[in-house]
Formats: sequence, structure tokens, C-alpha cells
Amino acid sequence: MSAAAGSPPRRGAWRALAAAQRRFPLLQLVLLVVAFVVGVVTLPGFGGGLSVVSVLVIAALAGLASIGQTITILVGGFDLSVAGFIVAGALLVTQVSEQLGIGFWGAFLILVPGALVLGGLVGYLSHRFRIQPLILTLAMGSFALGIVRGPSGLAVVGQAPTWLTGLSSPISTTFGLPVPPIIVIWVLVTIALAVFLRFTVGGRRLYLTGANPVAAEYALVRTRRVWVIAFAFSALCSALAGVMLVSFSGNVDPNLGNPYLFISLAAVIVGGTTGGGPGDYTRTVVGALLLTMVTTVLVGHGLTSADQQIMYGAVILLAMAIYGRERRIRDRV
Amino acid sequence: MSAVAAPRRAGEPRLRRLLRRHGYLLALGLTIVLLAVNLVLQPNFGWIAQLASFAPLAVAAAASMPSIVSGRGGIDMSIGPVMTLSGIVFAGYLAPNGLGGLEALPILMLLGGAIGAVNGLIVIWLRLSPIVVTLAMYFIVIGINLKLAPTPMRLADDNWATSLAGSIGGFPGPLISLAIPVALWALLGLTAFRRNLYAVGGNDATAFTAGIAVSAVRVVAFALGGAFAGIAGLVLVALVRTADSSTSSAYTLIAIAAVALGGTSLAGGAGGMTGALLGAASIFLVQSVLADAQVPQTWLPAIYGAMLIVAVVVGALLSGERTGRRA
Repeated sequence: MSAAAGSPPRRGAWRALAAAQRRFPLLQLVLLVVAFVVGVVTLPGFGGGLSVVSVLVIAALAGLASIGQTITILVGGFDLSVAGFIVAGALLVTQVSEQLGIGFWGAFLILVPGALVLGGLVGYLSHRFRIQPLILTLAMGSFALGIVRGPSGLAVVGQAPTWLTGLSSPISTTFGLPVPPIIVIWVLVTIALAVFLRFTVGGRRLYLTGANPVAAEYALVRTRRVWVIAFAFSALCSALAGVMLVSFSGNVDPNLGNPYLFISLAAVIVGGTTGGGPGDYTRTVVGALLLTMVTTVLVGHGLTSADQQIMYGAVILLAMAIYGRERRIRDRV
Repeated sequence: MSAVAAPRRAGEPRLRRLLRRHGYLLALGLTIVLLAVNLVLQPNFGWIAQLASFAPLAVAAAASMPSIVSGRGGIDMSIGPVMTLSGIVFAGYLAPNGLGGLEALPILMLLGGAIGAVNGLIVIWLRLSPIVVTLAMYFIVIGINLKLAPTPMRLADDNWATSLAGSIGGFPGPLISLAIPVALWALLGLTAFRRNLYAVGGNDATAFTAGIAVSAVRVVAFALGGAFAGIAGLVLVALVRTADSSTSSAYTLIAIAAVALGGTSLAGGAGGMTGALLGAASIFLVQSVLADAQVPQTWLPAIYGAMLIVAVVVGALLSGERTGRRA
């Protein structure tokens, strides 16, 4: 795993840098600053306050949609239900709540236990029967989308309540601060997750389960319970990210969630979190910021959505080549 | 079709042992029952038309199978986009330039095979998890599709390929589409490759110590899947006569579901072509029943999702993976 800095360490300074890179996403932060400077120099108005806030809002949406992905990757899984749960959550609080006349909070009360149960079921089944979480999460995402969309019909007409759009409008403020609430929420969630993962028993159990499930069992960690909680939490986060996305775009589109599947994967992987650890959510935050900044600058220079897809694919490969390599077969014999 | 005979376990029920040995039996039973239901619901069941709409899914399932058998979670997520790419290249680039004849088949197989080989080479050279590599390739190929065909591309109605969805001199065309991957897989059964593939999928470290070129086997498995995906794209465009980049991801999930339903263990080392085709048949016939019963389209994702979950859980139950500890 020491390939972080490319060539084999020769001098002390180089080795120190490589060690720092392993502990902290140094290279990503440097690239983030470089991308920002390139944007300011080449795109007029890029450094303005509103423009920066807009980039932060988009990064916050990507970051919030990647929370579940980070947690499931840390326990050694994968979550491909992100897109399905995002659309399910978004539809529930708009169209379904309108059709049933239960209001936003009524729909919210369906959303939270619903997502927790479906996500937890994925964690349980995949742990109990040793099924690739990849398959189960894909299937569950499709299922969640279907049970929300099935009764509501083909036409998608839901509108977000006005107070909700205030959450992520770049011109709104939070208690007098000149940033929209979604950014404040993101910062608070980041701090909470960093504390949880680093300083609580639950966080350590999570890392232990990902690093070595057999050893974790011997250390009296109930790995199945960890998996159930991780996947339930992940589904809930995706559904809530769907609510946030509604607040950003104002209405619902059945394809709303699709980009966030690969954005969440790319953010986690680019941040440097690998399957079963090491890694944490702050790395994902850096990954989300970097990807959003680079994409915004490139879109400003005429990058199409097709180019964007290709770029994300290439970036995932590149980042994995740096962080996520497996052992050689001849070392596993 | 499972190459490794399941060892007899003491006290194991006979049915489970049978299913562990022949994973495709569940899908076979499902296929027979669903076919009967279909025939009752639709007395004028058009065989050729039904086979033609079944063929793309069946070949896509065949394409997903080799990499899954090769083990280490070798699920190839890029099969769906590669199919679409193959269709776009055929309808939009080969056919208008006078390469729309039979020679298109090997060209498309080479194209798909090359992408599969790149997947395999990245997996072995960079030592990355196959899922991550093929997922990255999935995004890249979708991007390429969007660039090559911003709008859907039409296939000329008089192209020979359209007879793959009809009949060729009285012989059902879809059977020919199905026969190509089946024949290739059967031919490979005459070589050591297929046995090596199951050995690698079962336990790659053991296969390595037994002198099998594990990396080469893995690359060939991915390339073979890619080549099958190339055929699947041609078969699909023969049926729908347009290649649409926005449908790039349509077949990925459902093809993997077919393979899983057909009793191919997603852990690798077991299963095969029979299972993949029967799994695809089960899913296709369920779709057909749902269409007959006029289930609204918006319910379909829920039904597919539930089916896939039930299929993999039942498969895991029957194959006797009962231990809860993840090693």
C-alpha cells in the first residue's frame, strides 16, 4: 500500500511526505487548491462569493449523498442502492405526500423507518448468507424506487415545499451567516461522523469489522449487527440526501439519483478510503470537494456530461491504483 | 454444468445435494412452470417473436457468466454499456460504411472482447477488485456511447441482422443468436481453459500452486464475456432496430440476476452456460407474465428488485452456505 507517492522512498523528506499522504489526503488538498486557482484565473467571476457558495452547495449535496457509501465501504461492503433510495426519498416527500395528503412530516415519518428497514435487511441478508452486497443493494435500490413509484403512476409532478428550497438555495442564510443551511448541516455532520468514527466504541467496532471480520468476531464484536446498522444507516442517508436534492432542484425527476451513484463512489475512492478501511468520512469530504471543483472548472470550459462520465471512470481507476491494491497471488499462497 | 463435483456431506438432504451439484435445476423448474403459465395466458404464443425478445437477455446473461465463474467477485458491470456500444457501432458506423454484413459479427466480438480484456488486464496488473474496475469501465463506456450516439441510431430495415429476430429460410433466427455463445462455450469445454477457469474461480491460490496461469485465465474470462456482450448488442439492435445510448445500463442488473438465478455462485467456481440461459429464461417469462397481467410499468423496478433478492437468497440457501462468519 506504500505506492501512495509513486516512486520508492529515497530521501527523508520524500518518505515523510508519503507517510503524511497515507494519514491525510494531502495530494487531494493540493489538487483542490490548484483547481480553484485555475478556475479563478481562467473563468471570470469564479472567485466571487456567490460562485464559491454555489460550488460548496453542490459539493455538500455530493458529500451528503456519499455518507452511506463511506460507511458501507469501511465495513467491507458497497452500496449501489444510493440512486434508488435518493429517488424514493425525493418522491416520498413531494409527490406521495401530496397524493396522500399527509404533508411533508407525515411522509418523513414513513421515510425514516422504511429506509432503515430495507437497508437493514440488505445488511442482514448479505451477512447471513454471504451474498455480495453489490447485488443486494442494486436490487434493494430498485425495489425501494419501485414501491414508492408504483402506486404514484408514471407522471412525476411533485413540488418541494418552499421552506425546503430555502435549505440549499445559495442566496439563503443560516441564523445571519451568509451561507445556506445545507452547508452548515454538512459541516455539523462531518464533525459528528469524525468524532463517532474516531472516539466511540461503535466507530472502533466498525473499523474492526471492516479490517478483519474473523478477528472482530473473536474480539466479541457482533459483526452481523455492525453490517445491519451500517446498511440501514446508509439507506437512510441516501433517502435523506434525496430530500436535500429536492430542496436544491425544487422538483423530482426519476433520474435525479443516477449521477449520485457514481459521484458517491468516486468521492469515497478519490478521498482515499478503501474497502474495509483505512479511511474516514473527512477524506470523503475532501474527495467530494475536489471532484466538484474540478468538474465545475471543466464544465466552465465546455465539458459535456459524456466527458464527465468518462472522467469519473478514469478518476476511480486512478485513485484505486494508488490506494486500493490487493496482494499478489504468490503472496497469498 | 458445474465442473467441481460437490462433495457428499453427511446428513445432508438429498434435494439440497442435488441442487448443489446442479445449480440450474431451480431455474429449470421455474422456466417450465412459467412457460406453462404463459401458454395458458396466451394461447397464441408466438414462438419466434418470443425467442427474439428473449435472445438479447439470454446472450447478455451468457456474457456476464465467465467473469463471475472466474471468482473473486468477478462481476462485470460493463456488460450492459458494452452491448449498447456494440449496437451503436453496428447500426451507426459499420452498416453505413459497407461493413454491415456477416463480417460485422467478428468485428463486434473483437470490440467487446478488447474492452473485456482491458478490464481483465487492469484487474491483474493493478491488482484491483474486478467490481471497481468494471464499474469504472461502465462509466467510461456509457460516456463513449453518449459521445458516439447523442441521438438514437437507426438500423436499416433491409439489413441481414434483422433476420436474427425473424426467421432465416424457415429456421428461427433467434436460435442462431443463442447458438453462437453456446457453441463457443462448448468448444472451450474441449480445451483445458474451462477446467482451469473453474479451478481459478474455486480457489485461485490453490490453482496457482497447481501451476495454472491464473492471471491469463482471468483475462480470457473477461475477454470472453466482452465478446459475448458484443454479440448481445448485435442481437438487441436486430430486435429493436435502434441503438440508443440512453439505454446503456438497461441490461447490467438483469443479466447478473439471470446468472445468479441460474445457480451460478457469485463467489465463483461453479455454474455455467446452462444455468445462465435458464435463469434468463425465468426472468424473461416472468416479464412476459407481468405484461399479460397488465401490471403497470412503474411497478416493474420493485418486482425485479424483489425477484433478484429472492433469487440470490434462495440460491445461497440451496447451495448450503450456512455459516454466518465472513472469512
